[in-house]
Amino acid sequence: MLAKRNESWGLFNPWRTVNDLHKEFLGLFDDLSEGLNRFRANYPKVNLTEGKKEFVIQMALPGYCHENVDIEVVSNFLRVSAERCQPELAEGERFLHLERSFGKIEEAIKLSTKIKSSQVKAKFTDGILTITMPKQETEKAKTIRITKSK
Amino acid sequence: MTVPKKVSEYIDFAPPADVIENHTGIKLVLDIPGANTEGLSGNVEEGELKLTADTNIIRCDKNVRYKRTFQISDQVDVENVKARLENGVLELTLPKHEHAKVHKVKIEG
Repeated sequence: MLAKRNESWGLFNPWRTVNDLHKEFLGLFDDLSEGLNRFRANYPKVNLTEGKKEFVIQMALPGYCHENVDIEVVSNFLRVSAERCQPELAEGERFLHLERSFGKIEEAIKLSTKIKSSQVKAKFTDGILTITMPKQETEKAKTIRITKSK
Repeated sequence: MTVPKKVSEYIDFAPPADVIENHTGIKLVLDIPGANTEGLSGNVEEGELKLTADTNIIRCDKNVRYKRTFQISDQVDVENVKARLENGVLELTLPKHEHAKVHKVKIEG
């Protein structure tokens, strides 16, 4: 009777190690590794669209602070660098699984035309950085007449 | 400017997740950029936690949707799961049932 009770009250069985308990509790994540083989955990990183007058780029930067995001525009180049640090674990916490990446990322993109760097706008919502870059007007072709030489 | 539009079709992505354990339970942290609380849904059924998050991001003419399923032990107190979405990062707190928590016993003597 007592043994039975111990079995159903797993926690009170003195012969079980904490590790066993962890394993049982984390039946939760047994399937994770199997799941990982099925798909690569990810999300789209960059979307770039070109309109008639502007380029719009969307970058996924979840958990990044806008203070740690740098945007540079030169001629027809765009460079975005951002950094997010791995949050420190509180006392008693430990990682069981780690898929998210941390550290510095840099994205450099060459655009097909020059952009008006002074009018570039950026906003950051829900972990998506959206940069709108108006194009510089391209010079129109000039027709040059040849004057007849007398 | 791309106007975020709702498309009837979805393209599914499995977002990366971190799993952190502490004395009181489990913390799940997922990167789901572009998702907001309106499009977020989660339910627990037959020991599985299913998370879905819709976004307005367009990929291949379809809306990006995040989907991921986690197996949960019955030691998780499903009634008290808490979720927080901030800056594209979803943090789920799954507390253990009181009877599943490890209690330290001091030996006197």
